[in-house]
Amino acid sequence: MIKGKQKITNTIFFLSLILGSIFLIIKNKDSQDLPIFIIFGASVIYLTWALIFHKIDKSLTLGILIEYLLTAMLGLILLMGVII
Amino acid sequence: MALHQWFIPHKDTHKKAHLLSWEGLVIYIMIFILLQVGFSIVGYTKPGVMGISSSVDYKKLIELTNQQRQEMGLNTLGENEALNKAAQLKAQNMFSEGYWAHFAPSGKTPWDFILGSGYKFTFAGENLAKNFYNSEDVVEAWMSSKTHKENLLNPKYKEIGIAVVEGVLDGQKTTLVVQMFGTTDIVTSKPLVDVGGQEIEISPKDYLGERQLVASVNQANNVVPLFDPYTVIKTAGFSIVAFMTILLLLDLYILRKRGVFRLSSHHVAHMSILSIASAGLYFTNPGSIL
Repeated sequence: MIKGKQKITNTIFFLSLILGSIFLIIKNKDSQDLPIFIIFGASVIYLTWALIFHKIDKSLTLGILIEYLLTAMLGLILLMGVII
Repeated sequence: MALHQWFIPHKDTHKKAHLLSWEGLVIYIMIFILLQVGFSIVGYTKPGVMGISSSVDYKKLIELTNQQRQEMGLNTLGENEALNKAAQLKAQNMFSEGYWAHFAPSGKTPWDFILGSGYKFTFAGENLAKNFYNSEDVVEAWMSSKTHKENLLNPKYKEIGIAVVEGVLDGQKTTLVVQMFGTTDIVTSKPLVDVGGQEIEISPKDYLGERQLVASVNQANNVVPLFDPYTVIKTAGFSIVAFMTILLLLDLYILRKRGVFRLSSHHVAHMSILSIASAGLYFTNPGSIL
């Protein structure tokens, strides 16, 4: 179960990840490869966070891990369709 | 399986909606892979049916290029007919040989086109762009790239030639932009060409040799695409992200209303990565420069 303090930490973490990534995407929007690398980097951070969070929370299961992996994959495929 | 279980959590087990579980994610990924495969098949079997309708205008490109140079305190470039012809020949050669590069697979170089059109340069350069929707985006993309910017703002250049040619490349209707710069003033001891940020010295044999280029400039291929694959992919991407966000919020709301706790992945985390992907979809475009 997520406690109040943990909720605030997670919210700040994800807000920073969203804003930081969007800033980098806007800054490099004319580049052919960088937006893909940015979303790839964000996906790696997202997956690492998921592993750590669910390990501490003792809620890490294969099903949950697959959901995170597929969501990250979906994010990458969405962007690759436009750029590549 | 009840239809509502695809959209909202199970009423007894509180298991998340199928369209939010791994099965749903596989469905979305498959939709995208099938779209890509479908576009490749259409491009192969019906070349030119899909592609981008561009409003890039060569006069506007010259105007914007000169605007950028003026802002940097540089001389403006005069339009040169021979350079225009060289750019046109280069663009048509890219369509006829089916390539997207500074050098043709047959060995033709940028200076072959410039010299072949009768422009005896001492210093020249080339910038390329494809699949941009408008002239402003083309110049903005060149200005965002260090090597293209240096070429565009090179003080040695006195003249410019541009071609905006439409045709079919890799099965898709494509708008190619070729920007040629040059000067006939003696600014270097040997003739040089700036290609992709690299200054290449032209040998006397190449410089003085006879050229067998395309005899005349053909009319641009007037292909009207039925649909734009990038718009289709963007629309599908935004729809899936919006749909998933609604389902995630609905899931949160229903669980809270039922007052139950479920061991599952983190919704805020998923929404974050999806919003980053949406921003990527929104801000990027299919245009590329070389």
